[in-house]
Amino acid sequence: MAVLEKAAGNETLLEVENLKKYFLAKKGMLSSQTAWLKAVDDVSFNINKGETLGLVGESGCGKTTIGRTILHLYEPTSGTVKFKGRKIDKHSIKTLRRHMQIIFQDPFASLNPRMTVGDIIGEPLDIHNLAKTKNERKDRILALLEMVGLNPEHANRYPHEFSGGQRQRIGIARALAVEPEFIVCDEPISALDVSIQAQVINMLEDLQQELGLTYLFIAHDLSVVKHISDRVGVMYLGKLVELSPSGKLYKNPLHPYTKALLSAIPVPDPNLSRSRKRIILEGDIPSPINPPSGCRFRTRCPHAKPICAEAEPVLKELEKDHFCACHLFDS
Amino acid sequence: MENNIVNKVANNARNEAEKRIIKIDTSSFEPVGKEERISTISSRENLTYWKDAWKRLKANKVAMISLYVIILITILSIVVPMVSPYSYSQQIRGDEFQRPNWKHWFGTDGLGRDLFVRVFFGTRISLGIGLVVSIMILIIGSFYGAISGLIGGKVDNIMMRLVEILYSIPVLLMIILMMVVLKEPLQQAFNKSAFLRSLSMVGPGLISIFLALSLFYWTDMARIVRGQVLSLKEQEYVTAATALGAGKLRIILKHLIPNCMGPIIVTTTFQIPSAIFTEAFMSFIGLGVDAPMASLGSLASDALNGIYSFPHLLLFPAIMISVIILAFNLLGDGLRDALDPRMRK
Amino acid sequence: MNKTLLDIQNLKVSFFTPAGEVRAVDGISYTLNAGEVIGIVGESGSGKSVSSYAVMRLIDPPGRIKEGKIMFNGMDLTQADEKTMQSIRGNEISMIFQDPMTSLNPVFRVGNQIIEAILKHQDVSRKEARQQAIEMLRLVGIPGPEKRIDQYPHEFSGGMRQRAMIAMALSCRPKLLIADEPTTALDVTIQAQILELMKELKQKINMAIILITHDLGIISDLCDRVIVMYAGKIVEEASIDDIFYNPKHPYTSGLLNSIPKLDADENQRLVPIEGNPVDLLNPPAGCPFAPRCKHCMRICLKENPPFYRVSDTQKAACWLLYKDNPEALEELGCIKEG
Repeated sequence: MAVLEKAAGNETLLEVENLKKYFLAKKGMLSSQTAWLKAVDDVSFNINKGETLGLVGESGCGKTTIGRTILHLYEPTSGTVKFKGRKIDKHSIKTLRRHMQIIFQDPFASLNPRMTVGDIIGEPLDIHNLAKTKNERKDRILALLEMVGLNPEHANRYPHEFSGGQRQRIGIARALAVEPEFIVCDEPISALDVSIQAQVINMLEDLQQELGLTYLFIAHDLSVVKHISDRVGVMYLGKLVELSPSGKLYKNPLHPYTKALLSAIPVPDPNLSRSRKRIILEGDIPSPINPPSGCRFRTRCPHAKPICAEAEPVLKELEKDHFCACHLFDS
Repeated sequence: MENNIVNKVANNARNEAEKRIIKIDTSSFEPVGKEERISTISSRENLTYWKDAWKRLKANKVAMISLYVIILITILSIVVPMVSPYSYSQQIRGDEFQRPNWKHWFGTDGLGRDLFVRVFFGTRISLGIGLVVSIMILIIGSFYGAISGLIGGKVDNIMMRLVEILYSIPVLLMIILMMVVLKEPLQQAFNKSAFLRSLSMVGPGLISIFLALSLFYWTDMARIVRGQVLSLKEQEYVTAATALGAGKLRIILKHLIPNCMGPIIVTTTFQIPSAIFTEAFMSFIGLGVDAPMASLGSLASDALNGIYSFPHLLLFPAIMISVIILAFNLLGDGLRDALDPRMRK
Repeated sequence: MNKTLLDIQNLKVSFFTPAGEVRAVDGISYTLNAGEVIGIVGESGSGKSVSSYAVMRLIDPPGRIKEGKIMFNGMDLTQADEKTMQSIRGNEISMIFQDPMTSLNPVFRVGNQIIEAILKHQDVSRKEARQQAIEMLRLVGIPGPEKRIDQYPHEFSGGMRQRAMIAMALSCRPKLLIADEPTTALDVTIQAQILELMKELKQKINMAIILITHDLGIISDLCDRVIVMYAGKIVEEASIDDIFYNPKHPYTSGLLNSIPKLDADENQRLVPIEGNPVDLLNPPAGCPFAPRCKHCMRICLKENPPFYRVSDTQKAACWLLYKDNPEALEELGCIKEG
């Protein structure tokens, strides 16, 4: 993305350090025994101002949990998140909510069906007293609607009158109402029709340019993440296994899981589909309640060695800006 | 190859069936600008949740008839005692124990009181009890349930155990007890305070019915609202509101309660007849409103004395109770169908 | 030359809602040969699923097949009675669904569900049926099928359940398999396993497949031929190479342009299709895609375009094709120049 140059300032906006988030899980329906579901287990990364960091991974890898823990929608089990050097906790989040926002996956569940679009977009203004008068509030709402490509007359309508793509635009307008610097995009296009996805991606890119936004873009679709992100983190069972500039990740993936993930994507190109050989991973994703010892990917990894069961690989910088956690690269 | 020919034939046959003629000229292939293109999309009339529900309710004949019956009875219960030449407590000497006639449409009771006025006055009291009790249940139950569901965890546990304790007490017994216990202190309170004295018009019996019923009947509402809130609070729009910095009160008032309005309304509609019924029962066993005030239950109770000679004294209030309760129940069913989000496309 | 297995002629399916008639499928025709894999691609509301449910006669009220014929092996399924349909469903035509979590009954053992399906349609003993079920589970790559057959659905993971669903669907060796978004609910790596399995099965068992999906990548992986649907109508039908390398309908090319490609240049911007999906309660008068089409012409807003034969393997419904080559019209004699 062209934003790369802009991000060259390398001013860190968000620091995630050793973040862990465990959920309490019951072992069986009738048993009172409990266990910890390790949704996010010791993950660290930074996000620079103006860049888009993509997070990819399959269900249960913890990518959504990371996004929500950063916004303190979940209390972290341990570890810290710092926004502009300020630690996010119960108290600081109250003032930080204005600077950090979220866009959701499901455009049907994320808008209150009993509120008009104007009230949905106006709610953040009311909460933070951002509009002094009624007229100011109205003007702000109309400006936000225009910013996301909707008409002023849409303000008096209800969410169910809109299509998925339009609803997603409403959700984006709501997030933008507080003029945030950082937005967590939690699978914002997965629920949309193919022909609408590109509209939303382009709009997110335009808004980033105009408003200097920083994104954490969470998705399971690698081609989308590659397109929009400057850097991409690959997650597996609560761990970050690879982190790299997006171009490098696709040209030269290091971790066996990343390789498999890349080769698993069906490509809309019949000749390529016929010629390429897929890496098919054996088995299923293990449960995050009881993950494998050592490297969590070893049960499905085609290159697993004895050491993989014993020691947990650490995230190391193997090339410039290209991090990977795998024993294959132990020297 | 053969297959292709068969297809061709089939195609032609299809074309014969619906041959259309399309006229084209040179202007047909002129490009059309974006504005004009988009203007061809006509938007249909869109309905809000309430308009949509109203539309569905209107289509339900039984529910609509019930609604009209309820409205009619309500209006009559207000108007009849106002325009009638007799008052509900007026004893007309010489007119005792009359059968229905032109002077007294429903006849008169043993003290010469006009039953027509008394039945509609009693209806007014019964409907009033149903309404007031339901509103109190609505307020107590929905807030209790919403708070319990939203906070969750230990608080929810304690609050719900409390509900279960209330649930396990035989309600009728408690109501009887409370009415007996409350009657005296209420009477004293009326005598002391000038403000409360205005309430004494209503009578301590009626007020203790209000209190007793609403203090015990809100548990159903609380459970229903809690269940709704538990599922609603997982909705992303609630998470979105939290992420925007909304407080708990705002989430309850703006997001949770409006979205469980459907079940709340339905429960309230069913609550009204059940309160009327309980009151009628209380009055019937002599624990209800104080004479000369009448409710449908006390009217039925009074009628028992001369049931073999004057069955009409029982008949009219009994029919009125049945009609009211049936109408509210049928309306409640209709509302449930109309407001149920699963029915929405 | 292959034999025609399924011939759908001018099929119309409508849903009669309180708000009006929704023409979910609005006059589609296509044929499917034995052993052929056809992909139906389209967005939500395009009628791709409904058209296939119609083949199984699984349209529930307020929906109804309004018009048209569904010729399966020479028999018109729209006229068949329920008893005939029951003997066809699961036996000659099978279906696998999107959500493997809800399509297996949670209170019965996986094996029993497959065995029941076999016993219903085949004259075999329970023991033989069980043996067949184990073989089917082995065929779809479930390890240890002798043990797995007695487990309950909740003991299976998502990918395994979809395999079990496929085993059940294939247990009677159907002539036609309808796969409705079979991998949409699965993770990418699991999806790859299932796609690989389907490719394998396609070769092992000679059956025709209708694959319904919104993912063009899956289409390119599995299909021989593709039907592109928009607003209940077929807009383009072609061999897989024609669709991807030489799309003729602006909707098809729009779809191809709007998906990000892995090998694309980093700065390349996506080219979206503008506008919103059609409101089926209120469809436009002419070509349903016209309000969103960059090449929209005056006639597009008035008349729905007929099909044009681009080549022996490709046809599309678009007025641009008439403009380029009026001779290639399929519906002869319906155009009057004036």
